[in-house]
Amino acid sequence: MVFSGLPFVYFFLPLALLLGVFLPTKGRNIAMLIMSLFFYAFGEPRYLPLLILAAVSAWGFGLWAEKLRGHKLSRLPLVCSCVLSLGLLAYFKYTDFFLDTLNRFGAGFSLMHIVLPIGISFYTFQAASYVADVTRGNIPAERSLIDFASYLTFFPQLIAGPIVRYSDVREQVKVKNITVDSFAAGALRFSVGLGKKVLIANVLAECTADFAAAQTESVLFYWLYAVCNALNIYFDFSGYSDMAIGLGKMFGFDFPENFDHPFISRTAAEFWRRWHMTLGTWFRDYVYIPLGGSRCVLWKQLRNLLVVWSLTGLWHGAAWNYVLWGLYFGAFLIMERLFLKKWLEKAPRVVSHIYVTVVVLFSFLVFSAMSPADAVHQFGGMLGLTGAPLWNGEALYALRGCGVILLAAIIGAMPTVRYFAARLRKNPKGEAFLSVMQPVVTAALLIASTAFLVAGSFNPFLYWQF
Amino acid sequence: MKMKKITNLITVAVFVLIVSLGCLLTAFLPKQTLSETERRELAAFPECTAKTVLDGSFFNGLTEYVTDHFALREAFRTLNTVLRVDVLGQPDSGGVFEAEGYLFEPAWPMDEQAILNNTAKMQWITDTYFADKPVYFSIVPDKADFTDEPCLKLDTEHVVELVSENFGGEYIDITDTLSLGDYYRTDTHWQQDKLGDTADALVSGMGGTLPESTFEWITLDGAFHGVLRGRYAKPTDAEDKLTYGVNDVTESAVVRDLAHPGVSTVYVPETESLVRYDVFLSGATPIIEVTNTQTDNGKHLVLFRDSFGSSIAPWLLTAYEKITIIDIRYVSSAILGEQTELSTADEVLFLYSTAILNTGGILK
Repeated sequence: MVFSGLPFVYFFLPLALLLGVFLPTKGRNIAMLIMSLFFYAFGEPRYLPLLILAAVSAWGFGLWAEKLRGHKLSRLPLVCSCVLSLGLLAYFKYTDFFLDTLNRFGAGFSLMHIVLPIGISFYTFQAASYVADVTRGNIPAERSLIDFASYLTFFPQLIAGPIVRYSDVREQVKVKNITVDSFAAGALRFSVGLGKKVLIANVLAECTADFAAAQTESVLFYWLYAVCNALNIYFDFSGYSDMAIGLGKMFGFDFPENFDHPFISRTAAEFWRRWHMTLGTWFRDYVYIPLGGSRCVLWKQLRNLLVVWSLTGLWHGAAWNYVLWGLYFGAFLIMERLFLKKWLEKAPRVVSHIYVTVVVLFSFLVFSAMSPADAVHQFGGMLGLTGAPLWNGEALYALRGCGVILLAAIIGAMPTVRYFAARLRKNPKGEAFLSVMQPVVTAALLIASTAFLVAGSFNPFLYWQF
Repeated sequence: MKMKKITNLITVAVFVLIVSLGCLLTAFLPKQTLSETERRELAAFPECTAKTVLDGSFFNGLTEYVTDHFALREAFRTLNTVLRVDVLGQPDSGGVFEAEGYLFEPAWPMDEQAILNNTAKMQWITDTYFADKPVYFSIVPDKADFTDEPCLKLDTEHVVELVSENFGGEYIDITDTLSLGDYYRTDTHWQQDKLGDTADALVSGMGGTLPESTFEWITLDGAFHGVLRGRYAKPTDAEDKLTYGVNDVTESAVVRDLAHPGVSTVYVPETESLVRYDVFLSGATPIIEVTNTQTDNGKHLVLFRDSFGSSIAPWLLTAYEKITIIDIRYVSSAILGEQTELSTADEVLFLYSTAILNTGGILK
């Protein structure tokens, strides 16, 4: 089940809210566990046992890790947990990728065509990080299987993040704290996320689909595709994160933020501090720093960066273009660390913004391309190197189709709303205006998104297979 | 602080109200089985068995069911089109756009392989059944070809080129006989009463002469709301009347519909079909043989057609003693010889719209 579907918004959510809001904490956790398992089963019933195995094993390894804390074998539970969690991830996500790669060198293996369990990249990372945190002594092991399983399987963050660590929500699992204020903030955030996904990302996705189906090429269409593609991925994923965070608030949880206007960044490193922040901090805390981070000799720092960015790319998908995508960012981060950051800091702001924009636009061409060669061809098309005309009828038609939403998306990707809201809050009339707008915006986004969903509009979801 | 509290209370109330109303109304309002505006059956509640639950088809079916039966669905569909067209400034909604008082839904993008496959099917039929017969083909242009409104549509000339290069039949060009006014405003099809020149061009192209015929034009009561109106969902002034022409030939014709033995007339004005265009030759059906009892010229035309052929066939009938009308979307071309008499054909005409030729696997 996805948040941006009518069965979720109008059937699953009311029932879950009824149980989550009115039941006492213990009852709520049992109810949420059952609801979350149903939520998962709605999309992928056959992989439900896998999710339960991940939850039960992480809980067990956590208890074992606590028991062995201070012992010479204290890391054994963590190793076992990683072998199981990451082994599941490796098997389900990377087996065919591995075999296919070997086949390119003439191995001749038959592919297994394994269907990727929804959300496996997220819940295996959460399980591994929990055991790691217990092993390090950062948090005590959770005694209650129900409480732990209700956290790991909690539907708002189950299939597409944010990657919520147990330490982030441990107290909220134990003590329910739902207020009118938190519920209202959650409802607004959920509606905003739904609107970002359904009204913006899906419309931009229609434009990228038109590009894929186009009969002719033009420079304008290549640019249009590149911009729509990058913004589509941003609004799709950040919209989903907003919905997750909003749902969390309605149920009394504070999930970590996942995006902070990444397109205003001035360096690639800053972009990644603002994009999919919970994944970035996960890799920082559980891979980069354990490898030595930046407190080691230069070549090791660079090695650590390459390892982290190869893994980041591979985490996003089992294909070489994702690896290339990760390494591409890794290369820019290395260049920034060596010399580029100093240059950019001295350059006018506009130069650094253009630099990040070009780097990011091309990166998402690689991300979405069928192959690296395809991405290079598209980049060549943007630069007019493919011999295509500057524009043509198909590109102008596509621009008409997405022009308004593209403009809204560009404005929405900047901290414009936050800026104006802060200005308005400085005077009573502005504050009153915002007070009126809050329920109006909530209702309008909910109703408009429903209209798009009822009409059976284009509604793919990009990130849930990661 | 107090204002913030009230705002939050109202926000919670509004959110809960919308979600609850959507849930309760969808759950308890009576369900329709058909969508008259979209001319399709709505999804039925999925079968719930261990197998359908485990393979996920129950949940997929449930999502379709909820979407198809959501409360106030038509109003939401209208809102979707209004938002897309009037607020977002999109040129179309779901591929349908309005211009010059007409609704359009041109096929796009071009699927050359589909066109080549369909052309190969036409050639196979020709080689198999009509090796020594004169064979012709004509292509019905989409009405979007006749509007200046910029839109994404097939290049009809290229479609003609592809078919001509790969099919042995002789091409009859009917483009010049048509204009936008010859099509319905709210439907993809052409209007029968505007097809005199087109029928003349087809018959002349096959070496014959279309007799002077005087049709009495009968207009059905009520507005004819074509398929595009339902798909567009937005209120529009575009409206049509459905008119069909009768004369001695059509009134006395002997009709034999192989799939529907009950059909015995050229027109079925009392049709209960959601598609009122089915008044012509009872709509979608694999094979119909129509005999003109007003002539004994002995000429037999085999017409391979899509739905456009239904309304032009009565015109062509005036020039032939018998027309066999075949729609190979509904019958395999491999068994045609067993189903109807083809060897007596004097001429064979393949008449297809660009949209059908551009659809892969549609011709069996």
